[in-house]
Amino acid sequence: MSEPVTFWLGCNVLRHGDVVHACVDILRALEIDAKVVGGPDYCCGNVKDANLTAEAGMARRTAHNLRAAGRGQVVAWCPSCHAQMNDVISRSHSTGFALAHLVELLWEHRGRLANLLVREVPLRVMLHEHYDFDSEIPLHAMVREILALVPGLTVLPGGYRAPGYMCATLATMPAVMQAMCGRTVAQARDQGAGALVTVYHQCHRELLGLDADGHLPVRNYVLLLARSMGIEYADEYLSWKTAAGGAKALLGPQRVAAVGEALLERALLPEFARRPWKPDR
Amino acid sequence: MSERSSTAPVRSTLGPPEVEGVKALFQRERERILAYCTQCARCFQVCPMAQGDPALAAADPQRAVRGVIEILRGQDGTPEGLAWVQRCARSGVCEANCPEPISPKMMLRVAAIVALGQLGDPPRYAARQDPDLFNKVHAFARLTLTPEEIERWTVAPAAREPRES
Ligand code: SF4
Repeated sequence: MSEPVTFWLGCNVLRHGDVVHACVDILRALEIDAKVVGGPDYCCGNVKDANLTAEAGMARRTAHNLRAAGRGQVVAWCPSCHAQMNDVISRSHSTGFALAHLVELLWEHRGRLANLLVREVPLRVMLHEHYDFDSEIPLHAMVREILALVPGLTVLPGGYRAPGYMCATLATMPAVMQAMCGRTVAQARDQGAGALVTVYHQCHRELLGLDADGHLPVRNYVLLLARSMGIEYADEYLSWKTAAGGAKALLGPQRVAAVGEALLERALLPEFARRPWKPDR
Repeated sequence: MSERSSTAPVRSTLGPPEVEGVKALFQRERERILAYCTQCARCFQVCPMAQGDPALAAADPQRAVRGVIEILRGQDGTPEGLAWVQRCARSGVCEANCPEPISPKMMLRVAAIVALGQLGDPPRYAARQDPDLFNKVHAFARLTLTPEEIERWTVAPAAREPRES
């Protein structure tokens, strides 16, 4: 058993329960004692630069709550949370813990992880790469090494690096997103990729639109690791994205009621219908 | 197991706070950048977001950086500077190309914060804020997690106590 950690999800990965549950399963299989925390009580506030009072409050609360979790190591899922903790929160609040990204932890434990990856995943994949969010963490290189441990999986050379450090910032600039997706799809087809592999939920959420429209299958790396461990999770967000306006019927009345019909109509259905790329544009 | 080696991972051992609170930190960064930036424009020249935009790529790099510095001084800034600030996606390529002890990525972020009127200056532009940001997070938690997981993972003990002021 290694050092107990706080596994810090952040907020928006909660769209992808399958990814969250797969991470928890992997950490458990690696015998890492991980206390899971996430949601607005642990929001880093990185997206709140236009409301600094709110951002400051989130930073204070999250520093307090992560300190109170009582573990010396915080492992972030989200690149935006990691960057905000490093660049802003820890420089303006006392923390009392060390910080790592989940990819670093998996990479460190890759020997044990390899022993758990027993099932073949026969797929040729291209990794969706951005610039590393922290120049001192060669994150995409580490993901490549981790994926290379999966039997049957071929990681293609790729070569195109999308601007920015994740897709969420590009999503507010449709022309940039359009150009980035065009290059990504073209390269994936050139190299004969059977799927595009995402690292972050911010990219997964956007790029699943490519899958939903039949341009290119999109898989998150954590779900591929879980599959190789014999744990299959369906990507439920993909089914919502594919259904788009039909997601309401797919969810059914009970889950619609749990979310609230007005919020579903106002915010979730438009998100499911949004697409990052129109090939004929 | 792969025999290839990567650079060993760096665990950030987070140091003690330099200032108290987020606003003070951004204010201090603002002053530091104004003190150190020589407006050499190397950061602009390597920026994939600037170079990926035809109008910005054709802009005079010095004028773009001068515009950012003017925003930090509380002035209007040049159109190029303001456009670059709004386009920054934090690729971070600039970081290794700055010869001074400052972070150009932070420079653009603080300039955005200043231009949004968040450090006491008149706002130069407005950003769209998602009023449903947290409503969506809660909604998705209800769709993807069990009630027990929501309680155990997403409710901080402090949320059950009176909030600190
Ligand atoms: S931030 Fe650094 S690289 Fe950019 S103009 Fe100033 S000194 Fe030059």
